[in-house]
Amino acid sequence: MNEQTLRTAPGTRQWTILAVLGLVIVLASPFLYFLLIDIPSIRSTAWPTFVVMVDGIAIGVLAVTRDRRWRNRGLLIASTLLSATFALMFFIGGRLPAATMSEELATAPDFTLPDPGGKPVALSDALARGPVLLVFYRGHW
Amino acid sequence: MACRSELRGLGAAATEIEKLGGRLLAVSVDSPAENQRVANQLRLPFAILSDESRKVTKAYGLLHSGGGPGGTDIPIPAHLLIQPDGRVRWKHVSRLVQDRPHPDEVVARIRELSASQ
Repeated sequence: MNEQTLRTAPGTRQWTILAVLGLVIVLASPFLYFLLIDIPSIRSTAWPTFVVMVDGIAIGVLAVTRDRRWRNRGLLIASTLLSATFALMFFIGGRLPAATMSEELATAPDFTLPDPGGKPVALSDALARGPVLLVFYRGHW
Repeated sequence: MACRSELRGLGAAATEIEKLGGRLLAVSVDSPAENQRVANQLRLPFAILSDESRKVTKAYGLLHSGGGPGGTDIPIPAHLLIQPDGRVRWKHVSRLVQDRPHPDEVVARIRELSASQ
């Protein structure tokens, strides 16, 4: 009966709304990463996403400290798990195998590969004119 | 998407190395037609070369087996600054999918090279 009174009492719903807000902020934060991906420091670290996630969790913690009912705790747990999942995907899921190129790779092996027009380009020809910045990347998908 | 952002970030490095008479060469395992499409779309000021057989990627020790869509083999992202004598002066090999050298660092490394010549 006491529980019933609490659930409908004015002034307690606001903490649940706050906990929901915390979860919504956490859910929205990964989109920040994709919005800001052209900024190099963000691309490598996703720091704005993590700052916003921490804010979302802090809001959830505030809601739970004011109203310890399980629905608020549940929302906080969901916010925390979602944040942890993103962090795991970002820092563990993104791991690459170590290159098998020797650490002291002294000389670049020569090669000839077609450019977009199909014209062969040799590394040695390019080096005859100056230095080369060779960039291997993963593709366009 | 992430890799497109990398390509757009390379414009300054391309300009810097061209000042030394050199050039930026990007290598992908996509077809020349696909590279043409992306170069046009992003208006890239450098050439993308096509290593469809993965032979060059392998020769550089940069093959990520099964790392691409549908389990295809793709390169581990890497930057190598090569001197005209063929020696590798500086390199950056990514350990995380999203990790790339900062474009300012790449430009700084090219400037170091020009200062030493």
